[in-house]
Amino acid sequence: MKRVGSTFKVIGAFNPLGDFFPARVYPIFKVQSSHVKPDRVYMQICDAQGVVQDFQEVADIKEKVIPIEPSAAKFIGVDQQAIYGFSFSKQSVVFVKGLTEYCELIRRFATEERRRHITARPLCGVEISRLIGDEVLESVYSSLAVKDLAKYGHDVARGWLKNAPLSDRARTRGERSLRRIENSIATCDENEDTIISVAISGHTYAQGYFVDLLNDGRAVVDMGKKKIAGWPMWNNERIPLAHLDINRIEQLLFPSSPLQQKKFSYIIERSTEVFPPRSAWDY
Amino acid sequence: MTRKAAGRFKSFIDNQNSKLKQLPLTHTTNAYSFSEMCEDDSITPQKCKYFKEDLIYLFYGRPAYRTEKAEFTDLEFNWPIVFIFDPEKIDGIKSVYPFDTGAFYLNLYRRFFSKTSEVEDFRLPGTLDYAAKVAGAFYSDEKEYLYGKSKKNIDISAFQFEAQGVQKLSQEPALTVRLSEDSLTRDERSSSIEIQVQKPIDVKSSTLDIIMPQRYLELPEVTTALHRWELSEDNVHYYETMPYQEQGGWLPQIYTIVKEIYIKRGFL
Repeated sequence: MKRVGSTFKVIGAFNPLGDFFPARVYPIFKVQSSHVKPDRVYMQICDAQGVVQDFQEVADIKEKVIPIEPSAAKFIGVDQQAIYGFSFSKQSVVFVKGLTEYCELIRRFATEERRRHITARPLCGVEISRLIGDEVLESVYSSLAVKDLAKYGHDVARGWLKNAPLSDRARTRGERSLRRIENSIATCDENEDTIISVAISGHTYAQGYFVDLLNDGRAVVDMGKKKIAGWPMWNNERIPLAHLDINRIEQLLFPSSPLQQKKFSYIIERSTEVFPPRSAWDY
Repeated sequence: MTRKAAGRFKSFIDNQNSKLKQLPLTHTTNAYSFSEMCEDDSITPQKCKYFKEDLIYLFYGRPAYRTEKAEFTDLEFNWPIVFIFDPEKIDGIKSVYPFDTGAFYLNLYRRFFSKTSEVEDFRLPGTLDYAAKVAGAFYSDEKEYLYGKSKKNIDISAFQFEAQGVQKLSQEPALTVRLSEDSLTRDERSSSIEIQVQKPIDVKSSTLDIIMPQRYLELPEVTTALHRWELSEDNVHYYETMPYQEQGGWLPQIYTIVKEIYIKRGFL
């Protein structure tokens, strides 16, 4: 029998990865009724559209529930939009109602406010990129993941690329990164191959080691003391990367042929003036 | 006095002619147990509160796991890791049962079997031949066993109560997580053939494939163990942890991976 008519209150979150963050977390509910024992906890059962069909009692997890502030509690019932959660730590759990809102929240985390946390866990980045359907971002994270995995063994990185759920673009990009590591063209750390120039504003440029590609097409470069974001430069023009084909972006940012490397060096030589950023987004 | 039901199911199976191809054996575990395996390089038998001895629970072919509680539990909540073992490398098989004995002890099969039925009425000798014979008796082929919902018609005499119950179980879909209030926690484990093993299982030499959430690769002890077991390049398969509507969403993804592995290895 469905629990229609009852109201359920979110009392905390459960992380199936244990103490491993950032992570997708699941809301844990208590029913708002005096007829039900207060120690009973539930999870939501949803259909493919994200609408709650029922609530199911859960055992053995009470000690593992991450509590949330009572003021942050949300209330739902059967036939309403499900609640989704994401967490960066035990102290930082966010819940939203509905799948659309959840994807927007994740996109914001991945591209803006919490990007640094996700970049530190590239496999999380890969999954998030796939959830929001961003293959450019997925490619960047898969490359970073390969570099991390290759530290434990090239076989681990190769196996992940072979058997993980990835888009063709991300897999190709990851394979290229692995080839570079295997051929010792690049090490697991960044090297001169990834030095690029970026435009910070109309007449301000910076040059540094490529770190990351943002969703809006800007690239983050490491200048030593700080990391800044700007538009990658090609033939002294800004490249709106978001509008380019992924292969073209990779050609520009990760030149592998000698001819491309030569062109790249030329650009780097031309962009000799490095000014302190004025309106740069501080990475 | 010997119960009439004792040995009746075994006799029924002994009289069956059809037998399915030998499928791999699976063991599903959570992160906690997996971390112990990474350390010990083996799976060790654990004390079973029902059988009062140290056992490892495997399932024939299906990526199922044993029911420990009537409610949805911690294990179901955690991202599972599935080991697929080479059936020829598993020693010390004690018994074979046509279903998840944990669910039987929790009385979750009350719709299928008599109240007076005992788990021992269903016990079969510890050879994988019996597992293949049970699957062959109730399912048309290996794929039907993997997904459940058997359409095979067999003549079962009126007094073969145990076989009648197992047949009814076999007609349920394997992937169902939740059917109704009455069958709240009965899922793919229900009609999965259980294999009880008494000896430790060496992971490196016995494992064909592993299916795990890819996020666990961020744990150095996991990555190092996969590298040490020499499985990481071809035999570890990954699933995502983000895109599900609910906690049980990984189940279809794991079944898809298992099916691909079995096809690749010639089991299906």
